[in-house]
Amino acid sequence: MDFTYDEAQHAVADLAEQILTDRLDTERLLDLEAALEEGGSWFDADLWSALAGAGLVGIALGEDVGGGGLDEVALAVLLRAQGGHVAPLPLLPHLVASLALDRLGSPEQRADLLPGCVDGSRILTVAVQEYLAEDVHRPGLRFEEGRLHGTKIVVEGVEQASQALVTATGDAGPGLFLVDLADDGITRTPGRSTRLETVWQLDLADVPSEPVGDAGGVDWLVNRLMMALCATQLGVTETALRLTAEYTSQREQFGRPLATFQAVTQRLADQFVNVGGIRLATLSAAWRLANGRDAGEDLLIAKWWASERATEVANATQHCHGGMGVARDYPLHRYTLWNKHLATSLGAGTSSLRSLGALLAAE
Amino acid sequence: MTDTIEETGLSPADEQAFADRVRAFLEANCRRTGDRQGTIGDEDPEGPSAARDFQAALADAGLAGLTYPTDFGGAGLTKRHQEVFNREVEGWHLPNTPLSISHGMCLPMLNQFGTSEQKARFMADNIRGTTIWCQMFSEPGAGSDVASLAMKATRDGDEWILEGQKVWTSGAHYCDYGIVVARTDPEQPKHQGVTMFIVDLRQPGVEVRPLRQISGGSGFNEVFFTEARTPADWQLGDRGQGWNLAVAMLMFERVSIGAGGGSALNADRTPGLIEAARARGQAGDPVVRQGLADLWIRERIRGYIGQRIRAAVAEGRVPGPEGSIAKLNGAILARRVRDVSLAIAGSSAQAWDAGDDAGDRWAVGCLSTAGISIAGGTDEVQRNIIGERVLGLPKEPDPWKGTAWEDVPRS
Ligand SMILES: Cc1cc2nc3c(=O)[nH]c(=O)nc-3n(C[C@H](O)[C@H](O)[C@H](O)COP(=O)(O)OP(=O)(O)OC[C@H]3O[C@@H](n4cnc5c(N)ncnc54)[C@H](O)[C@@H]3O)c2cc1C
Repeated sequence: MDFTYDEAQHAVADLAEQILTDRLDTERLLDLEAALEEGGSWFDADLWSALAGAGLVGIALGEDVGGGGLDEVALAVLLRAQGGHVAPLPLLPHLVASLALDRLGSPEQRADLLPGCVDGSRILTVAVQEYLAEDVHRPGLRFEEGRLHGTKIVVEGVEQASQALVTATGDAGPGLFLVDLADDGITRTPGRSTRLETVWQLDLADVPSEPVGDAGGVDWLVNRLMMALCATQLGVTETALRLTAEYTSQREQFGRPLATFQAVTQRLADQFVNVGGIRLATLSAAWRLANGRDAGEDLLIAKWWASERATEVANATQHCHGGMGVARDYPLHRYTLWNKHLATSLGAGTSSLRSLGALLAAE
Repeated sequence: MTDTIEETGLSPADEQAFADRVRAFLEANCRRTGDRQGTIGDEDPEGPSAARDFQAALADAGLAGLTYPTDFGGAGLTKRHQEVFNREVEGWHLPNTPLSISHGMCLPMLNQFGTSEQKARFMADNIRGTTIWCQMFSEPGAGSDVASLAMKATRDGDEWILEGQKVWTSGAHYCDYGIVVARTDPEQPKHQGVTMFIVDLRQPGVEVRPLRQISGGSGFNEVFFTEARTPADWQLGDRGQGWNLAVAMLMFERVSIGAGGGSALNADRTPGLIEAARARGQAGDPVVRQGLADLWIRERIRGYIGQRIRAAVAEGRVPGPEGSIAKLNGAILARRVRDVSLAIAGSSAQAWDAGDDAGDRWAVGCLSTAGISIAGGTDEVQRNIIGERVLGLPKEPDPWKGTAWEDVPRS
């Protein structure tokens, strides 16, 4: 593969770009944020409908359930576009959860849930992270006799989603389990993420649940989540860098554009290299996932770049804006906040580094 | 090192007695610090009114404005007392962050450059926290190149009329007075045509509009001056000397950001982070350990830099470019602290309960770090100062050198 989009991927990128550009300008974002402060939710419902209506939300799902029949690379393309526009939508958990259901679920589960996932009327989320647990591959949440017990944190999209795909460990080892979020056994506690959306702690007490797929589902899911996070962060860093190039070309101090100071130019050039690394590693991982190859190493590299290097991009783009970089009135701050949120999802960069070390050192 | 009585003017017994007094005050009025990373510009949770109360209590106990003369509301003590005070407050939370600019920058300026009338009029209230002061340099068009500022001051009888806009003014929304630099002589080159003034912010010609910060707080503001007035004898220093005074004030700022002992910003983070790493079962992790060791080394070095500079300030000297070294070092250190904190905090750095203090602390601390590299002159500006004034490297050529400010084209 040469890391350029093929025709179908181009079509996804162009369509997503067009819808996002048309429907989500700064004014709209400000309105949504104001609504959020009044207790509203972090969700642009119109935008969601538009993306679903264009067939994008189900782009990677099977054609038999109405989906677009594409794969993980298409998901990466779509999430990259979302990140580039910092669109407030639980797209990532929905795309990954519905893909898991499509690829691993039973015929009944697929027929039951997926058509709604394609047309956007049904939203799914994932519940993976746990307190003080770095290794998401070995969930502490228990599955016993058809019921789930335990706690998940930083669950997104809970206000919109009807079901969650939960990682848990049962007698047969780690696996994926579907729960109805309306179940009485689930206690929800809201928290705030740096991205400003409400994220939830879910306490599950004796919640009925059905497994999705066999053993191995957790690794399958975590791999896609990692790739999806990196793809979103790719879009975030690309736009942050573009905004910064524009700003430093226009803003003058000492009688000349900031971008003519070499301290600025060189720092931004380094960020271009950083973003390039995220792009290549992420697309490579997505391609390997889509083609049934082992993506473990690529994913860890991508996640490490996307945690550490994207943080560097966030710091540099913010810093080159001077005071503007720490003010909420200027658009850059959203990218800084998203970056921070995404960089620490599924563990900070150092944990990928550790896993990569273990992988490389293993015989 | 200062340990002989000749050098310090304090006998060991006096020193002990003073330390006991400070400790008694802290125990009665303060609580121990958590690991919240204090920062400039961010709103202090306790707010200015708590700061004023605290400061009044400190003044009543004879512990405010330690090295300033008693005639002007200070405690009239020695720099050694200040060192002892700084040492004793380590590990305590003093709820006076809203006064950090007022005391770290405006007060030394009044003391150093004020006329006797100005000192008599303003210093005691400033020291006691009865009035709070802010710094008004930056403008939309003049940040790193603050000397190019455009705010206009025109003489009108016994007064100056101020017209223009300042921006990023920390604390202006609760401050009573500002120290402002304005252009009095546009026909002079940029560095020579500016003058410094004290201005009363509580007048109709001054409008303060809060700006939101990325961390969510509203610590800084835009300030609009429309025919605002200030008495001619509130001018600080001579007409046209504003730039030299501004540089002095910036050095006080850099020292208070990079080396101000006792402030929340300068408290050592490593001990708290070691505890956090233990609590999260990460104290054995090689990556985390390396980060902690690196931090500890840098905090020790900051300690040495700070000691030296504070000694100079307590002796009444205006700090030179070593202020830039302290500031740059402090900013780099703050970023390291953020990175190590993130590695340790894991998912609680990502989201937190509304009521989760620890989560809130991580998040605010992490988001506020960026401001430290910007406020008081960015890292690049400090590096340029160190290059030119410490290393003696040639200055960047300025095609407009010597040109009247009004003749320089600006966008
Ligand atoms: C939290 C906070 C609190 C503040 N409080 C106050 C206050 O109380 N009072 C006040 O007057 N101001 C205050 N400021 C303003 C602060 O002093 C300015 O933001 C700062 O000097 C930078 O100016 P700027 O924002 O215009 O950025 P710019 O000058 O536009 O700089 C943008 C970027 O360009 C870089 N750059 C500029 N010139 C050069 C050069 N020659 N070489 C290399 N790189 C360069 C900078 O390093 C920066 O990264 C505050 C700022 C912050 C963030």
